[in-house]
Amino acid sequence: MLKIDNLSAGYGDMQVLYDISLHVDEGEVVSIIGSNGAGKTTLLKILSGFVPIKAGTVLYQGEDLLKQKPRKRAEMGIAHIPQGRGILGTLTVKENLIMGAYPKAYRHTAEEGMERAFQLFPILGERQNQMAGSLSGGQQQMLAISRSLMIQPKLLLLDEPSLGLAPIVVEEMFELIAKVAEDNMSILIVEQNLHQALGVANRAYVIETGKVVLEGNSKELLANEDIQRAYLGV
Amino acid sequence: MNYWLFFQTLINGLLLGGVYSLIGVGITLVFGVMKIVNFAAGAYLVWGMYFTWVWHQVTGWEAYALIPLVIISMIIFGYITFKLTIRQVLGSDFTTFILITVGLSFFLQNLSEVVFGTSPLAVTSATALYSLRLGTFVISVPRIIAFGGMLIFVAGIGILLNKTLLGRAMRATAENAEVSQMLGINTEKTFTIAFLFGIVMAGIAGLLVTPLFFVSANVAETFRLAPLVAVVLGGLGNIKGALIGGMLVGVIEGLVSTFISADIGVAAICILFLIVVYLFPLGLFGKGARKA
Ligand SMILES: Nc1ncnc2c1ncn2[C@@H]1O[C@H](COP(=O)(O)OP(=O)(O)OP(=O)(O)O)[C@@H](O)[C@H]1O
Ligand SMILES: [Mg+2]
Repeated sequence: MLKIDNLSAGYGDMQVLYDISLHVDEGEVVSIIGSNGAGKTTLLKILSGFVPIKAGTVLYQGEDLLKQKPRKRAEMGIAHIPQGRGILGTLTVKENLIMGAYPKAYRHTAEEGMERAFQLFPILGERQNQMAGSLSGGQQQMLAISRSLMIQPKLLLLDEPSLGLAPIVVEEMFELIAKVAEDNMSILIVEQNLHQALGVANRAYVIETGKVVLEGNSKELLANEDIQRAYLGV
Repeated sequence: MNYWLFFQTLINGLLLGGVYSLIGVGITLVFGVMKIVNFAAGAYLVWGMYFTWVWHQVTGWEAYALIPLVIISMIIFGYITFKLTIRQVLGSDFTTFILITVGLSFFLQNLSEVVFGTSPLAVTSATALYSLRLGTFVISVPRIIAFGGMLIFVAGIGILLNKTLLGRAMRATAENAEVSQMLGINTEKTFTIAFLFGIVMAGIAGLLVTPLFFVSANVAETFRLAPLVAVVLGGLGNIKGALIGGMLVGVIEGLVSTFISADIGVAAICILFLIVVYLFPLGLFGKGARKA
C-alpha cells in the first residue's frame, strides 16, 4: 500500500529525517512514535506533498507518490488529518463535511457521507449549521475524522490525534480509530502517546531525532524494556 | 447650518460611496483568499470604462446593457494580466505582491493612454441626464443605478461564497490553503478565480460610473485611494466591512468637500484612514474594534 525507502529530508540546511524506511500494508494500522521534534509531522507532510525530500522514494500502490501534486492525494484515496486537526473554523460543520467530499468522483456521495457522520456522531448533526470553530476540541476531532471519511479513504494519515484532548476523550478517539480500521482501511498514525498508539496498531516504528531506532509488532514493542524505560518511566 | 445642503451632500456621498464599496469588496475578497492587496483595482476600473466605451462605439447601446460584454472583456483582460504578473510570483512574500500590484497599476494606466490616447472620451447615455426629485432633494438616476448595481453584485458575491461549492472552496482556501489542498481543492485555480472576481467588480464599477465621469486614465486617481481606505476601515478580508466602509468614505469625502473645501476631500479620507488605523488597527468591525 505505502512503501517508504531511504527517505531523507529537512528544511534548508537543517536535516530532519535520516534514511527512513517503513511500510504500511493493506488494511494495516501502523503507528510512528516519537517525541517532540522527532520529525513526525515532517514525514506526514512529505507524504502529502508539502515538504520536498532530499533522497529516497515513496511508493503508494506501487506508484511514485511524490511526483503527484498535493491536491491529487484526495482523489487517490489518501486523507490527511494534520496536527491541530485542520478544521475549517469559518465554515459550518456541514460545509466542512461537504468539502471532505470535494474531489469530483466523491461529490455525489456527500449526502450519504454526511448521514454516516451524523449517525456516528449525533452531536455533529445537531450542530451542523454552526461554525466549526465553535466546537470543542473533542468535537473538532470527531469532525476531522468524519470529514476524512467522506472519501472513504484507502489510506488515512493521522497526526497526533490525542493532542490537546482530555484523557477520556483520547480513549474514545482511539476506540473510534480501531473501529474505522475494521473497514479494511490502512492507517498511519504518528503519536507521542505510546500506550494508545501501540494499543490500536498492528505494528509500530519508534523514531528519535529523525531516525528509526526500533520497529516491530506492537505487542513486542510494548513489552520492550528500552521502550518502557524511555516512554513510560518504568 | 444648511440642512438641505447637508442631506443632499449626504445622499450624493452615500451613492458615490457605493462605487467605492463595489471596488472595495473586490479588493477585500482578493485579500481574504490570496492575502494580496490589489493596488491596481483603480487601473482595472479605468479599463472597465474603456471597454464600456469600446462596446458602446460598436453597438450603440446604453452602458447598462453592456454589462455582460464588459464582464467577459474584463475576465479575458484580467486573466492575461494576472497570468503574466501575479501568477508568476504566487507563494512570494507580501512585499513582492505590493510591488507587483503597484507596478501593474501604473502599467495598466499608462497602457490605456497608449491605446486610447489622453483626451477624455464620453459614453453618451440617455439616463445620465435624468434625476429623481425626493421632496426637495435631487438624486441623479445614474447614481441610484450605480448604487443599486453595487448592491446586486455584492449580494451575488455573498450568495456565491455561502451557497456554492466554488464559494466554499474560496472560503476554505482563504482560511487554510494547505488543508484545502489536502481536501483536493485546486488552490491556484481558486486564487485565479478570486482575483478575476476582484477585477470584474472593478470593471463593473468602471461601467457604472461612465455616466458620471469622462473616460480617462486619470479617473484611476479618484478611485485608487478611497476603496483601499474603505477596505481598511472595514477590516481587510471583511466583505460587509468593505461595503459599509465604502459608503462611509463617500459620505465623509462629500461632506468635507462641500462644507470645508473641495480641495481637501481626499486629505480628509487620508486623515480618517490614519485615525482608524491608529484606534482600530483591525478595522472598525474587526477583532480590534471589539477589543478597543
Ligand atoms: N517549516 C519548518 N521550517 C524549518 N524547520 C522546521 C519546520 N517545521 C518543522 N521544523 C523543524 O523540524 C524538526 C521536526 O519537526 P516536526 O514538526 O516534524 O516534529 P514532530 O515530531 O511533529 O514534533 P511535535 O511532536 O512537536 O509535533 C523540528 O526541529 C522543527 O523545529
Ligand atoms: Mg508534529
